[in-house]
Amino acid sequence: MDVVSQLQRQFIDYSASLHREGFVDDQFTQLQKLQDENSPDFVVEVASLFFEDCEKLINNMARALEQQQGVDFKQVDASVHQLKGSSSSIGAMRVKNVCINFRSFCEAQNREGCLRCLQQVTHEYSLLKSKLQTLFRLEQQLLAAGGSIK
Amino acid sequence: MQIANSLSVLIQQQISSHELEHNTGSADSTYRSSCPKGKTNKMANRIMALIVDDNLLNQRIHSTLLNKHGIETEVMGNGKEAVDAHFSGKKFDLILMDRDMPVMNGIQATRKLREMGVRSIIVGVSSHSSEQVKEFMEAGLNDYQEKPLTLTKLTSILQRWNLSL
Repeated sequence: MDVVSQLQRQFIDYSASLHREGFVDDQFTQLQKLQDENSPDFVVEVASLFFEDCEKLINNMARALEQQQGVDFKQVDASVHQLKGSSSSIGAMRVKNVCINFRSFCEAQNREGCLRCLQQVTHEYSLLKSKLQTLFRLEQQLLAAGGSIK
Repeated sequence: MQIANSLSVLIQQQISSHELEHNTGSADSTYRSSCPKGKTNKMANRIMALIVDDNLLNQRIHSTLLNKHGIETEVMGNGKEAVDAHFSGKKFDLILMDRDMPVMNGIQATRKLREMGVRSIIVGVSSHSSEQVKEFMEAGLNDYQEKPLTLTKLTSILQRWNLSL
């Protein structure tokens, strides 16, 4: 197998594993299909926007949950709702699923439950970030070797 | 989505989908007078769409989706910006209106735009359940789609409202 075919195989297999393990769903595939000559860095761009969004929202949630005087669950819920929306838009399935649980705890005004979900969402976001960075690295290697992801 | 569909029909009857708004300008008005009514925008100009959403990620994704269809896009971060833009004379063929936004949300903005006489196709985009869609539809939407938007959903919207090039 020549280098390009090997890299292509690696890229495809890694991409498939992300789907199989539930890190991304079909929405992510849809976004990959939108990438073309007019927007060659589209997926990397939206992933970056997503991670910025995640960090900002996770910080908001952490701050709101830290309030000793009394947690404003509506505020926490507002951030979780935003994160759920973003993760849904990019196809970040595991992050989205944690958000769904998170919202239930917000509704129940359960601080412990919320803190657990905050931990989970932070964990899932970090995992996804590292996985996608690997995917993008594989893509770059493939393109540099003269291959394509199509 | 039965309620949404019948409301959609009601609104369709009130707002003729063929009377698309058109970017005015001296060059455009020549085209406007010489083209048959309703086809003006598509034949003379590219279709202009406005994306109203406070989420940067969605702005980027929805812009790219529309650009794929050859539609030019502008983005605004809340309902008030959209309303102000229309007050200052801006016009669009299609408006993708998110529901939850700060300052002025999608329901308020849609209502305001219709009060102003804006006849553009307004498609509500949100992650809300069908019960909550009713209020949004009644504000004056032509159509509604659940997030996330995909190429397929967008294609069906464009075909339904005669916005395909």
